[in-house]
Amino acid sequence: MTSFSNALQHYARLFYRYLRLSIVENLQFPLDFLMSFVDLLFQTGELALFWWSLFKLGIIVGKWSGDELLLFLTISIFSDVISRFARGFRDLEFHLLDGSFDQFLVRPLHPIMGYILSQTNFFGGLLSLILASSSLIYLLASGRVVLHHALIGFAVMIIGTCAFQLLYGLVSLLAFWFGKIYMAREILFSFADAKKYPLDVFPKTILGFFTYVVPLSLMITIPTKILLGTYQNPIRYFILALGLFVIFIVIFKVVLQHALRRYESTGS
Amino acid sequence: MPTITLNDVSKNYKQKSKTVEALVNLDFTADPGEIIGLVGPNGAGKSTFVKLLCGILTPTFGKISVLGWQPDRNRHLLTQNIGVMFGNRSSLWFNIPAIESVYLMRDIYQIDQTLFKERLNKYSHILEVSDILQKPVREMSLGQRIRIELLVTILHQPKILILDEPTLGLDIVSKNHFRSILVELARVEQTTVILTTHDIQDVAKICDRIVLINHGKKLLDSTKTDFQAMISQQAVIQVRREENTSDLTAQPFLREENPEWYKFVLPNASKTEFLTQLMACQSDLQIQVLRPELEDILYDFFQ
Amino acid sequence: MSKYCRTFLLSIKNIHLFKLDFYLSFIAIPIQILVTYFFWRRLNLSESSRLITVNSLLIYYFVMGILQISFGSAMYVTYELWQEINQGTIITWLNRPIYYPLYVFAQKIAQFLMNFLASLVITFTVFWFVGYHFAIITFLIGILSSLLGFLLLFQIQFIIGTLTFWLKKVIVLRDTIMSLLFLLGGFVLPIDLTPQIIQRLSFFTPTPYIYYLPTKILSGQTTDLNLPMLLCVQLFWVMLLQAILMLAWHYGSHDHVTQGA
Repeated sequence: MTSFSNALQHYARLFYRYLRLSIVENLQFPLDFLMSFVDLLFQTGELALFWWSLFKLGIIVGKWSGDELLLFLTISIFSDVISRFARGFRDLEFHLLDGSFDQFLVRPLHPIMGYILSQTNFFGGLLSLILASSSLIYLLASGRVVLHHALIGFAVMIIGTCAFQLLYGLVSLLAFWFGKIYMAREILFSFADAKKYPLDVFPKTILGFFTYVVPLSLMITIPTKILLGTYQNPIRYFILALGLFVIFIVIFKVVLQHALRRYESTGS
Repeated sequence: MPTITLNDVSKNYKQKSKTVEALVNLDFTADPGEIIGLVGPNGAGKSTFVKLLCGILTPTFGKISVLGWQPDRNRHLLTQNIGVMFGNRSSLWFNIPAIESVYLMRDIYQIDQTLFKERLNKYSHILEVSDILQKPVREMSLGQRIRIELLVTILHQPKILILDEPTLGLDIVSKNHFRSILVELARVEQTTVILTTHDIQDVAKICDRIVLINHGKKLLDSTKTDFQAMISQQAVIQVRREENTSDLTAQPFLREENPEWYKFVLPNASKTEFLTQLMACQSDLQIQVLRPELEDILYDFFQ
Repeated sequence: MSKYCRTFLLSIKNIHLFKLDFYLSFIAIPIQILVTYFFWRRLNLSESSRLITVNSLLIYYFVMGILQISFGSAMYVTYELWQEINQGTIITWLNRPIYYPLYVFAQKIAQFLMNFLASLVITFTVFWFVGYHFAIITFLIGILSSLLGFLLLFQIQFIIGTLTFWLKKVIVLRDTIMSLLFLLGGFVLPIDLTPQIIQRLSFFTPTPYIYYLPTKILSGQTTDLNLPMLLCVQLFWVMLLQAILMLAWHYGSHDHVTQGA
């Protein structure tokens, strides 16, 4: 228990350290600082524009009202904050191919944790978090939505997003065997494109696929519906998200063990 | 007690249908405070050797023990006790002051605050980097950058320091400075230093032992004293090239030639006979007999 | 000119290295189209104020996906130029008797043409398979517009890359401009389906002329009447951005070339 709490403290300190490094680095370049914020607004604007356009056209998206879709959009930004930690997986194959992954194997850290932390854009995450929180505060303060089961809703969003990102991580680990896995990742991303839509408008079979196999619905759609009070018994989604998360983490751990034995540290 | 032991270690890589032997039946030991120079041509197996020590790679056969642990099985435990620096790969944050990278390493290695302050003062003074810690890494010269790399590698006082081509690209002054720091670490802190390098001067100036690897095999493992003996058994003869100097390229023991001189490396015992042979060829040759350098001895092993 | 032709040919010879990645990238399109289909087919499109059909949307997103893959080579121009300038390796090109922007363009256009050719074959096959009819002349104009669209993307990326001479980091700036391009360039929805204000706003920028206009033409969704005017505006943007590119390159490479060297 003590060693677990020590490890937790260690990673919390590192989290703070990387956050600080990211902020200091962004402050070195004032234009980047400004642009990061503008970039985030544009990215969020894309989704907002999509829904705004549909409403202007009089298109109704399932049973979703405008305010509910705004909450959906807000939750998607929160989910994106967590997803940012997994973005390092994108370049894992390059670090494996040129051997620069070595440096994460010679430090007293879990190699994947060390790698992920070093690759995360904490500053961008912080901006996203500020934007998502502001949007949520606005929605609540203006009375446009009332939150139900907030704790469970946010827990499902966090765990569901982590579960999906673990799946992404699992696909990325294939790089230890196959070197370049760009296409496998692209295929997963093509599925992930669906997360921008409320997935309950999809046919049941597809929704099932996006809940139990590629858990996209647990990232935004189901958490938003929990927060809107749609479900009588939201705890079952929490258990489902947790179950999938545990399954993915066990698989990830086993695959990683084998993967590290395959590592050939080429490039030097 | 040795800090590192390798018994009959081999490492094979599979490349498509064929197997490449990167290291073959290697035996090796290293003691605390020893500085060991690992030399060999490109592709000899030096990096594989270093990566096996760190636990990055798993040996195909044989046993490795580093500080009593099997590296590939106990990599996490080992990392706290070793310091690894890859000369061509930076672990510093490029755009921000170097001190931020130093703090990061403090948190990664969980160094106690008081100890950290002490060591930072001590090492930044020795490495002469106190004044540049607030400078962004991108604004530093290569020499300054390498010194900061070394600082973040030794802050947790590793028992073993593994340096892969650390002096690559450094000028003479920076190299000398860097070497003296390594010697101090080995002598004062009893750190075992493993140094892979292509710079023979690194080895000649600071290493207690030289290990030469080629084609994955250990061809030479010799202490400085043994080496001195080897050097004393060899001689270097240099013949100055004038307009009227005969062509000596057909002579035995020829190592190098350029427009200014011919260089011959030969056993000491053959020296007199060879000199007579040269004089017989042309009596007014300008000949210099020199003490061999390390690279003169290692040359044959590199072939 | 022969040096640029040689660069063009070398680039084509080099393409086989990335051929597999290129062909495999088409696998992603059917999945995206399926996801789009499942979303749109459940919506009340017939009751909306505009004439939108699921089929027209699917064709639109399909062609957009094809163009994105074909334009891929231009997406790395900023990054590569930023690296060349910051690492100082740009000097090796400035010391040679070439005009560097044209040298880079020769490489990128070669990759684009090869990718676009393969993409057109796939597009024809899919259109034939689904029984989608199109006029050959419209298709030819679509190819011309795609070429201009690629040129615009190249110019924008190159101009941002050139800014490295003045700013040390341009990658976030590039990402921001690309996000704006995605926002106003018809990626989210065809621009004519977005609110009036967005339509007006986007037509004051070069963004709709990169992907949107070629997509609309190739998918046969523009009226013949406004085509010449739209192509003229596209050409105007190409000329304006070319002038900016040449000016930026001239001043950057002459006054600030020491950075990183």
